[in-house]
Amino acid sequence: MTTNNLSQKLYPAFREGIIILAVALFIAIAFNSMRSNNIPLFGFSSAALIKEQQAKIPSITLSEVYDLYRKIKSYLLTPAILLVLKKAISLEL
Amino acid sequence: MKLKNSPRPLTPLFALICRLTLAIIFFYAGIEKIINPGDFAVAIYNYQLLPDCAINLSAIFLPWLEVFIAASLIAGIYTRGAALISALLFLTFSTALAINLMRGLDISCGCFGASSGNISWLYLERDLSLFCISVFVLIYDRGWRYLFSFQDYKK
Repeated sequence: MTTNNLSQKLYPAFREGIIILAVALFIAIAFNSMRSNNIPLFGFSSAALIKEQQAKIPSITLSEVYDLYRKIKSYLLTPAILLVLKKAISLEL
Repeated sequence: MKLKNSPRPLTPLFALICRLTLAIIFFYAGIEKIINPGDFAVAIYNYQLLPDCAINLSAIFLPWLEVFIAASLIAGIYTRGAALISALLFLTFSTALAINLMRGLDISCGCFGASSGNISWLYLERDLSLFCISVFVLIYDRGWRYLFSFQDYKK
């Protein structure tokens, strides 16, 4: 395919592409403003998201984990893991 | 039938199949994201490539762009423009994926809304393949009329 032939195909493609982009942008903004669970156009807050994600993660200390293990006596935790936990607690203390 | 007269009938037929495949992929991906733009905004944020002010706008705009590309590819209206944007989109997605794979981040792909898996090199290969398919469609697609017209092939 020659350069001329390629440019002949690309020029209308660029023009058509810009039309598609413009129409999609218009419809997207219009639809978002009309829907009930819309999101603000420029209002994304990463700080709020991090805060929300952190709130979902329960915090537990290693000693609490060890106590829970001793209480439940889980069959899943092997003595090797118990040893690692003990070492980790001793390092933390 | 033109399909029989054409010297190279398989290339445009294959381009048409590729075009419809792209349309189905874009339509599914777009609808999944339109349903829940909030989750898609979080997926975009996880890539850590865009500033906060551009995340929501992208989360609103990209799904609709995908749906419009799908509609154009199916209907055969502005097919070349749709194929060009499709190629550019897949190139952008591939770049974003490659950057985050090299960073070592284990994040959700966000390609098909909430049902997407975590990013991997396989996803990068998929996006690059779809980029190649888009370029193929851009160059070789001749639309429905070419395949189903009774005129002779003169090009």
